[in-house]
Amino acid sequence: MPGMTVLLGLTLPTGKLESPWERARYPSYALMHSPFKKTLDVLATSPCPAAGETLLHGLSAGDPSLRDGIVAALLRRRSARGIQEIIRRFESFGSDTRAALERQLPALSNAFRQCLIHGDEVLRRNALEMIRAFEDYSQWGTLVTLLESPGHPQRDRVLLVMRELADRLYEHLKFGREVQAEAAGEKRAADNQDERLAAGRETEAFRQDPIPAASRKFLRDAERIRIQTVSILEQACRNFTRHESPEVVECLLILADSENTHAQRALREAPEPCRKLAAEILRNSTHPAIVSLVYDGMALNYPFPGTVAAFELRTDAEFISHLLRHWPRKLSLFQHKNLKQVQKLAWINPEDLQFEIIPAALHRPLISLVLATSLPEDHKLAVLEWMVKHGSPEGRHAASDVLVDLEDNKVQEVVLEGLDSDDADVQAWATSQLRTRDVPQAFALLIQRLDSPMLEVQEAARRELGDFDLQRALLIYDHLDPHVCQCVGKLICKIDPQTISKLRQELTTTIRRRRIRGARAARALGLHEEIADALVLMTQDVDALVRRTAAEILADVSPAASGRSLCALLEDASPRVREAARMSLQRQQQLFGFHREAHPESLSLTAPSVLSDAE
Amino acid sequence: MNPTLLACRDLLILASRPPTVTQMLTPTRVAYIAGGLTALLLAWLGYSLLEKYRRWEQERLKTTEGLFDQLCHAHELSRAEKKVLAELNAPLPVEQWPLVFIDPQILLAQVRAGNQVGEHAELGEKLFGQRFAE
Repeated sequence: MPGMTVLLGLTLPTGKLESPWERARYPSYALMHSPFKKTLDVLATSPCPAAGETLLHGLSAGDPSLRDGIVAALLRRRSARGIQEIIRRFESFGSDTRAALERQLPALSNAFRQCLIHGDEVLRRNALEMIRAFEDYSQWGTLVTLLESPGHPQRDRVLLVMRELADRLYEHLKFGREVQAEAAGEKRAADNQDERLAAGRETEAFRQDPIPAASRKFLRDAERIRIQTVSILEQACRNFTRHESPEVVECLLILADSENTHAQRALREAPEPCRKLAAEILRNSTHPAIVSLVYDGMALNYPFPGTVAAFELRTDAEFISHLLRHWPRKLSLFQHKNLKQVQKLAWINPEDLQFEIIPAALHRPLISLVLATSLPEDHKLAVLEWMVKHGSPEGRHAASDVLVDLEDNKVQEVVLEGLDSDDADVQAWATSQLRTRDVPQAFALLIQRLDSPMLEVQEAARRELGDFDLQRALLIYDHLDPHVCQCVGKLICKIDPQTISKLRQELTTTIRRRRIRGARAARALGLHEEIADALVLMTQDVDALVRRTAAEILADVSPAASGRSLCALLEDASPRVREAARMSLQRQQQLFGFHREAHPESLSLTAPSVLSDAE
Repeated sequence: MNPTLLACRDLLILASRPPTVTQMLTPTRVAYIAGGLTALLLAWLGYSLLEKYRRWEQERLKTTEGLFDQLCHAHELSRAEKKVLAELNAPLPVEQWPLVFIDPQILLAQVRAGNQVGEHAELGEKLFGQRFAE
C-alpha cells in the first residue's frame, strides 16, 4: 500500500494522513503526529498555572475529538484540580476516553478518595461510578470509612459499589481470564427453582449491568487484592455497630475462603448482630461463593459459625445442585464427622418428596448424602423407597443395597410393588431382585415374566433363570418324571432361545457318550422333533450304538422327517441297528399310520408286507 | 681555584638568593595575569548574566505571556502569524490568550466571519492540523 512503512512488524502510515479513512483508522497515530500534540506537550509540562486552566477550558468547551489528548495532558500535569475536573466530567466521556482513563488508574486513585470524602455530590457520584467501572480495589478502605460516617448521602450507592467489586473480584479469582466472556454472555438463572436445579447452574450474573468491553481485563494479582480486602472487611465486621450494613458481612463471606481462620475469628468475635447476620446470609444467599462456603465448610475440622445450621436449613436449588454435583466419591474424616451432626435436611420431607426435579445423574450422590447424615430413620427410608420406585438405575441399585441393611421386609414390599409398575425399567429391576431378596414364589413369578410383553422384563427374567439351562437339564433329566421333563424342556427353551442349536451341537460332539445322552435327553425333554435333522444325521454315524440310539429315538419323530433314514437302517451292517430300525418303523406306523412318502421303495407293496419281510 | 668555577661562583651566589617581586613581575607576565583575571571576570559575569537570564526566563514561563510565547515557539509561528494571534487576543484578558491554541472554535469563528480568511485558516491548520481544514 503506497505511503506505508513497516516498522517492527507494524504497518504504519508515513507522512500526512491524506484521507479521512486513514485518520479514522489511525486516530491515536493522527493525534500523536498532529500539531495539536505540540500544544498538549507544552501545556502538560508548563509550570504556568494558566496551562492547567487552558486545558480545563479545552475539556469543557473544546472539540470532543480532541478530548482524549486533553485528558491525557491533564493527567500528565498531575494537577489535583485537573483530575478533579476530569472526574466531574466523567459522564460526558465516550468509551475511548474512559478506556484511556482506566489505563491511568493509579494516577486517579488518590483523587477518588478526595472526591469521595470532600467532594460535592457530582464528584462523589462520578468517583463511585469510576471506582465501579474501573474496578479500583484500592478504595475498599475509603468505602468502608464512608459507610461508617453517619448519614452519608450516597450510602446505598456505596453499598452497591462494594457488592459489585466483591462479585468481580470473586470472578477474577475463580475464573481468571474467562470471567469476562462468561459474564457478558451469561443470563440470569431462571427464577423458577425447578428450572435452576434441572439446569444444574452454579454461577449467576449478579451485576446490575454488564461489564463494558473496555473494562475487560485479567487481574494479575487477584489473590493479593483479596487478602487485603478481606483484612479490611474483617475489621469492618468487628466495627459492625458503626455501619450496620449486611452487605459488608456478605462481601466478607463472598471473598473469604473456607479455610480463612482470620475471617472465622473475626465473625466469632464480631458483635452479636453481625454474627446473626452472617448465619442468615449463610442460610439464604444464593451467591456461588457463599454456596461453596457452606459446602466446603463441612470439610473443615472447625467450620464457619453457622455452617452446619445453613446446611440443614437451606432449600434453594443452587445449594442442592452444588451439593449433589460436588459430592465426593469418598468422604474425608472431617466431612464424615460434620455430616453426622446434620440432624435434618429441610428439603427432604417424607410426606412430600419432590425429587423429580433432581437429575438422574445425581440420584446416587443423593443416596450417599442421606446415609452420611443423621437423619431420622423414617426420612432415610422414605428417600430410599422413592429412589427404588422412581430413581435412575444407579440410584435404584444403590438404594436397594442399602434398604436390605435397614429393613428386609420393606425391600420385598417394594420389589412386589415394582413388579406391577408401568415403567419397564422399574419392572425389570423388580424382576432382577426376586431371587436376591428371597421373595416368596420367586421362581413362579420369574417364569411368568418370561412371557412379559416388555422386552426389558423378559431379559431380566432370563438373566435370573440363567442357571436353568440345557447343561443342567442334560445332567438331571433321567432323574425327573417324564411329565416334568417335558415341562423342563419347554422352560429351558423359553429361558434360552438358543437351546435347540445348543442341543444340535451336543449331538455332533466328538464324545460318543455325550452324543447318545444328548439324543436321549432330547426325547425326554420333548425336543426330538425340533432336532429331527440332527437325529437323521446320527443315523449315519460310524458308531453302531449311536446309530441304534438314533433309530430308537426316530420312532417318535414323524415319518416325513425320519422314514427314509429308518428304511436305510434296515440295511445296516449291525443286526442291533437293523432291529432298532424295524421296531421304530413299527412304532411309527402305530403312532402315525402308513405314510407313502416314508416308504417310496415299497409303493407296489403294502407296508405290513415290507415289515414282515424284514422280520 | 678552577677559573670555570670562579666564573660560575657569582652566578651560583645569585641563584641561591630568592628573586624579588619586581624581578618576577615582568611586563609580559603582568599582561598574562591581567588577561587571565579579565577572562575569569568576564566568564563569571557571563555566567551570572546567563543565570540571571535563565531565572528570568523561568519566571517568564510561569506567566501567561510566557506560556503564549512558548506555544508560539513550539508551533514555529512567524512574526506575522504571532501578530494575527495578538490581534485576536487583544480584547481578551491575558489569562485567556493561550485558549486560541486549545479551542479551534476561536479561529473558526474568525474564518466564518470572513475576517482575514486566508490567514486564519492557514493559522488554524498550523495549530490544529487537518482537523481544522475539515
